[in-house]
Amino acid sequence: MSRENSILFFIIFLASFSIFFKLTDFVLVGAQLENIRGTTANVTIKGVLDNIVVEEYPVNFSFLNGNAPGFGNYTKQNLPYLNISLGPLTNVRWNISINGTNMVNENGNIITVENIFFNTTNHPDALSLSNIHQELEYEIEPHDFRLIYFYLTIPVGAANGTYYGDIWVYVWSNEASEDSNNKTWSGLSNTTVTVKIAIGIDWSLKPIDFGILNPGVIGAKALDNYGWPTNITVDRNTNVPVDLYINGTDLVDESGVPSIGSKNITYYNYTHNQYDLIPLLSDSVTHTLNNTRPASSTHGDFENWGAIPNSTDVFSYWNISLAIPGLKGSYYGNVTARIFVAGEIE
Amino acid sequence: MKFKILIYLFLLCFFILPTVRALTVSPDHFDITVEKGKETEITEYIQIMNSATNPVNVYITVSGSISEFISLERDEFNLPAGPGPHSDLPRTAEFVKLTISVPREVPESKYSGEVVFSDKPTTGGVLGTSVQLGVRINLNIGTMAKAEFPIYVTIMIIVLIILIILSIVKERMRRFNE
Repeated sequence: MSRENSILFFIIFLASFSIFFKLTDFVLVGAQLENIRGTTANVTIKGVLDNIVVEEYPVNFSFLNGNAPGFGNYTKQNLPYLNISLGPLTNVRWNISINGTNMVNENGNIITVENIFFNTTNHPDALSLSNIHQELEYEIEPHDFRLIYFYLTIPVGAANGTYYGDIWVYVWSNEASEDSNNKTWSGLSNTTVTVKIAIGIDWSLKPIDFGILNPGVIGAKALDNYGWPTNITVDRNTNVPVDLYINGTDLVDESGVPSIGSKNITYYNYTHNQYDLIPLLSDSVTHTLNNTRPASSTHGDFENWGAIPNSTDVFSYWNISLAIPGLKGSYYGNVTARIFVAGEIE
Repeated sequence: MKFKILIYLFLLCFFILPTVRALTVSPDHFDITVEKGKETEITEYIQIMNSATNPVNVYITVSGSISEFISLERDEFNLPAGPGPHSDLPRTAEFVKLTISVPREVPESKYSGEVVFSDKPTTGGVLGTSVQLGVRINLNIGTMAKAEFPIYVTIMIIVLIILIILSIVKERMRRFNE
């Protein structure tokens, strides 16, 4: 066989078997050829965490003009969450943690950070925020995002004013290279709430009662614990000093006819103030029960019923005089206790 | 006589539950300023809370010159039991929606009054006791509102002015040519 015929035969042989070859086989051949030439393309792409992208901030809990103290489950306004994602260069799975600071108002009053709650599910079961990082979720896909929902409880009696605190979001990855395996987002003064003035009053549901009296009696004392004394407390949730006033109606008989004027009823005060070292205070003044509150006053009904701080117990002792001829039967009236922000009635 | 008093005291203790009402209201006031000559509607919310361990029925009334502008979504509601007056736990609360509608024509520049929250007086004795909390509302009618026309009215006026100017110029040109 001539040399030409041998080459021709070899080509025909290869062509006949080529139907059994696959494209990859050719690629393999090519690669081998390249290897032989020593030009390998060896590219290593490192794991990267891009910057944290936070949307829907700040974390503002103020509903309209502000919120009352002593109430929980205030949600973040506008949208109830922060939207956390990473920049487009991120190519590794990531983990997320969060921490924050106390919120402080202009007078240095504090709402501690534990009163802020958060989760990723918009469900009442929420974690309390802390000064230290709390790990929230692991192995989030590179281009995924997380919504962090926030709730706030304003403590009972929290002072009014606008509070600010900081919040940090921290992201890290074990799959990223050392020079870019963690990122931090600083939300300085990013948690905020305005606490409004709140005033509250506690009074026993016991009425004031004088029992069964003889006609013409003067200065009869109320029954023990039913007006001798009766205790009004400025509620713990009150966050400003208040003035206390009492007024009442005339007493009517069983048919509804006014029969005993309110001025036949008197009361005087002994105030036990938890915040003073003096255990008992008294004006040694007796007041008659009026139908209306005073139009102006620099304090409450008594001098020490003005500018009362919260959690203060205010005791009053009640008497009745019945120097009215012809009384017989049962008589009823009402007394109302009301507090105002101190100095409001001027 | 002593026996009568003893029976009376026994009945009093038996029928009257020695519980407490403990109400808080927030805020204590609203200061509202609206423009004169402009129909305005403002919505505010008052929060009222209960810390007593028993539910409380709350009644709302409005007094003062402000009352003609105020409408409430309700005038009575029940506040569920709270955690106790000495507790640090959050109180139960209701939000009362308040709508202040000021018409275009109002004769005065200042109105005031209050929204008053009361509970029902206790019964069983000579003097029933109740508590009241009020929220003051001060309404100031400010300076005259500036007239604001919709944009399409402004455009129509501009086009009209241009047309008038063009017609004047055209008329002048016609006379000049004659």
